[in-house]
Amino acid sequence: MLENIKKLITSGDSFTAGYKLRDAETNCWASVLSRQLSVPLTNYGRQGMGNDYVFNSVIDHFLLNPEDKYNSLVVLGLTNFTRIEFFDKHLGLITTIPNKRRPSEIEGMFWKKHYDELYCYKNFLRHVIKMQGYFLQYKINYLMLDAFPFFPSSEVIGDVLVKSMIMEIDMTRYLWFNNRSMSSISFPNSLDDGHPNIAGHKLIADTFYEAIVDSNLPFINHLYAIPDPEKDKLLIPDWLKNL
Amino acid sequence: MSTQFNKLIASGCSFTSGYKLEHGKESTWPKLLGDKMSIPVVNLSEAGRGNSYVFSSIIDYFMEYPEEKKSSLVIIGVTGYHRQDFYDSYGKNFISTVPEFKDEASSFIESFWKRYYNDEYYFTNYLRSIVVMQEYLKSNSIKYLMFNALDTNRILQRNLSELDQKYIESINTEFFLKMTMCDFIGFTPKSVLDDGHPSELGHKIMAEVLYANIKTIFD
Repeated sequence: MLENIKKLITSGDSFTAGYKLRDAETNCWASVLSRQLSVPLTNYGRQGMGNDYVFNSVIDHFLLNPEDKYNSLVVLGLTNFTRIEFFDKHLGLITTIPNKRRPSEIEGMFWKKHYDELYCYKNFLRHVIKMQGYFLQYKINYLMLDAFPFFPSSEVIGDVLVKSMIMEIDMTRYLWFNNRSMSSISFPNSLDDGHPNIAGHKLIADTFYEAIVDSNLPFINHLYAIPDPEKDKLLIPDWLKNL
Repeated sequence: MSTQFNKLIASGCSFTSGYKLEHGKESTWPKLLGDKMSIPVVNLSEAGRGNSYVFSSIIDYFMEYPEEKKSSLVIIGVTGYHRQDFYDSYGKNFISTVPEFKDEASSFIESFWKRYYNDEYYFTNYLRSIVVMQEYLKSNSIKYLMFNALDTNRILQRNLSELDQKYIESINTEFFLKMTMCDFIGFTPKSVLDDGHPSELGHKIMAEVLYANIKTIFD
């Protein structure tokens, strides 16, 4: 597997961009992982972005660089499903991050009148499922991991459609689905604002590296292999198994 | 063809839902097409909704009925790229940013159009969502056909970025009709209602056009 990876492509929010990190371009987990794998890196991580941006940046990359489809590893740091993208004509792309800054007019209205947890979580799951289909079609190797914990409420998890969608997600690619995140992996190595520090980013990179070289994972042997649920059940959180 | 598919699943906007038709969904193109193909129809379309809903409704349907993936034909009437879906938590309803409804728009939609609408951004999102949806359908072995329901003059007249051009080239045109529903039904007084939506004749023409295309593509 490792010899088949010629390029690392990453995307995510501030946890992937290395927000507030000294010399972020060198010390963020994406950069550390690229050195561990000895391959060049393209990192689309951008502070404050939502999952629309995370997925779209990768799709756009492969559209403009189709030759990268066949020899790249994509690693995504997924962010909170409540972050919805808007294009602010003055500021550019913004997302609905609560309590982070003085909200713009539309963000305030969004949270007050147009936010629905179930609606947003279903959209998130559909996005993941569509991305799986996209990666599968192009035989692109990928891994996903939550940047920080974002637990949906038990009401949302109890929804019948949500349950069906979760069962559709390939847990061999989406590491510790909604159960363990970069934040918990890097804890307590964090900056004052909760983002990982240099040591925290190293731990995140180590975790991805272990997952990639772990011979028990199905994609170690082939460029793209069908996951084996028996072999990979350890990656599935307990609460999910009981659904 | 009738033996290949056991069900027709359709989704779209008002052009598929039969908005303002006297007999509603009973005289829409999905129903007429299903009758021609002698198969039952599930019409998931809703007037006023955006493509986020249109595509999501198909994905959700197959979440509930995964056993129908391989035996169904999905037909999607793609709607305008400017329509974005939002949830109205007060009315427990869904709204979309239909510019034609600006006069009765909420302050949220007013604000969206005034300060947060970017034509290039939403056009690229629209193209990307078609490509990703096609890959989803293909990866699930779901047979499908898409077409633009609304007039695409705005699309054809625009200056395309390199990214947009590449997305357009990436769309699998084998399963995406080049002409729009507006082109097919011709917009003669008899084929459209006063408000521009297809009449019963318009829906009948569309069913015939789709039937001919399905025969060519899938037989």
